[in-house]
Order: sequence, then C-alpha cells, then structure tokens
Amino acid sequence: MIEFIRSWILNIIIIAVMIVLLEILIPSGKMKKYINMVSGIIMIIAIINPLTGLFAKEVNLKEFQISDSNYIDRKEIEKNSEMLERQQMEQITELYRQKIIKHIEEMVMGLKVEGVHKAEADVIINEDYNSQNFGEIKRAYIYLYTERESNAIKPVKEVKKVQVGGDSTEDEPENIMNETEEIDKDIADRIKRQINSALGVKTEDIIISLQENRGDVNVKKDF
Amino acid sequence: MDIIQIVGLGIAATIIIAVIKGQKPEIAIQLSIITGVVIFFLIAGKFAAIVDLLGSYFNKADIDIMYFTVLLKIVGIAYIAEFGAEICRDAGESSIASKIELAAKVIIMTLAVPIVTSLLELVISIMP
Repeated sequence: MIEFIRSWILNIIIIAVMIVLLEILIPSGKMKKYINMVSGIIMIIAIINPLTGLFAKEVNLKEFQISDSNYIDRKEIEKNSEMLERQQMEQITELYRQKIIKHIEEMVMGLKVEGVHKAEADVIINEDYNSQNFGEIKRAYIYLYTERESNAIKPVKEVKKVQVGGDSTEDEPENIMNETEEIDKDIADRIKRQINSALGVKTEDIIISLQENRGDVNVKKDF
Repeated sequence: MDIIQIVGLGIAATIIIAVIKGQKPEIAIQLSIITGVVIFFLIAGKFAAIVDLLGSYFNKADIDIMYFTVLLKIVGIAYIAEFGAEICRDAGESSIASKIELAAKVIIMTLAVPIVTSLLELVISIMP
C-alpha cells in the first residue's frame, strides 16, 4: 500500500514539475490555452489512473490512444482521397503505412519483452482507395530482434532464419530452443492481442518472428 | 553569452529594417523573416537539450511517455504556428495569420483528441 501511494505521489509531482517547466517554454500567444488544456488532461489522467487498479480491471490507456489516433489518421486519408490525385494518394498511403508501422513498433517495445532490444514491423494495407475498407490493415509482420547472448526468449517453431550480416553460424544449442518455446508463445499472444484491440487487425493476420542478432554493425556494445 | 549574440542580432536587424522600411518595405519583411529563422536556429540546440532532459525525468514517472511526446509535439506546433502567424501579422496580412492559427488549432486538436478520449475511457471504466 505504501509502495502504491509512493509511486502515485511521485507520478503527480514529476508531472506537475514537468508541466510547470513546459509552461515556461510555450509561446505566449493564443496557443497557450490549448497547451494548458492538454497538460491539464494529462494531469487528470495521472491522478486517476492508479485508481482504476482499485475499482476495475486494468485499463490500457495506450491502446485507446493508439486506436483513436489511428482512427483519425485513417479517416483523414479517406477524406483526402476524394480530392487528391492518384500519385499524391500513393504518397499519403505510404505515409499512413509508416505511421502504423511506427505505432506497432512503439507498442511492441512498450511491452518491454525481456531480451528483445529492437522491434521492426511491416504492414500490408488495403491500398485500393475506391474500396469500402480502404486503409484497413491486411497483414502485419513483426520482427523481434533478440540479443545474441540472451536466452530469455527462445525462437518459435516457424522461425525463418534471416541472415543478418551474412555470417550466421549455427552455434545455438537445440535444447535451449525447446525450453523457451512456451514463453515465446505467451509473448506472441500478448502482442497479438494488443495489436488486435488497438488497430483491429485479425490475430491470424499478425505474423511474429524472432531474429537473432548476429552482431551486425547496428549492434551497440556497452563497454 | 548567447543572449548577447541574439540581442545584438535582433537590434542590428531592427535598425536595418527601420532604415530600409522607408524605401523598400518588401525587403524589410524578408529581413525580419530571416532574422526570426536565425534566432530560432540559435536556440534550437538548447531547446532540444532541455526537452531531452525533461523526457528522461518523465521516463521515471509511471505514466506513459507517449503523453509527453504528444505534449511536446503540441508545443512545437504552437511555436511554429505562432512564428508564421507573427510574420504574417507584421507584414500586415492578419487574415492569413488567423488562417495559420486556425490550421494550428485543428492540427493540435487531432493530437489532443486521442488523449481526451482516453480520459473518457478511463472515466467510463471506473464507473461501476
């Protein structure tokens, strides 16, 4: 209980201080009241969010936020598609796709899966802008990059081995792979459920694969 | 010392603009735009540093970093819009300035509405 109150109060204090500091930074003109409104709402969320744990089941606010902003993006390109030329349309669709990819990556990283240090996503969306469900996500691919040393997550059965950097060596003992299968399924389910509720993609259309990081150039090493 | 640079730049630009305005008002406007942009870039690095530091503290709070990002995006949009609108207003085009402000408001709304709806969802979920 003490721990709960401690983190609650800490939250409120940190956010209050941040908002006060931000208020110094914001321009003094007409925009000020909008920023005040948003910061006020964030403050309210910070105050009442922990209470949900007492009254009801856990609420995932991030999900609501992503699904709502996704809805706005989708409606926006739908409206624009009525006015724009084909080529512009393609560019906008691409932009929309990138936005969704970013959302998914953020969401997966937000789950803080152990051992995963990078997530990449790719989606196929309905690009036929005459069709009824234009902008709908047809398929989502998620690649999770695990650290080489980490055996917190073991690969799933259908792992496609993608060679990163070209020199993949089969140095993984097989018994580790079997042990870890279950954790992975659990995580995959969690990711799928979240993406399903946030973006409305059918769970069978979400493909998650794990990739071992073979020490390519992108890996940062801490010395 | 940065403030001396910036103030010096601003005063120099103001004097030049005051001299030029009588003969060539169109160049005076361009000069003021350029000055504004230069000052903007001079402080951009500091601004980014402050925001980075604030973000790292926000990470310590239990609340989602996403809210902070949205808040920062809104601040950025407000800054840019004010900048553009002020230039237009200085040049005497206050109608265009108010259009810029309208656009900024709408864009801020599209960012803010998801936060408002998530508050609503929160309230709904608390209700028995």
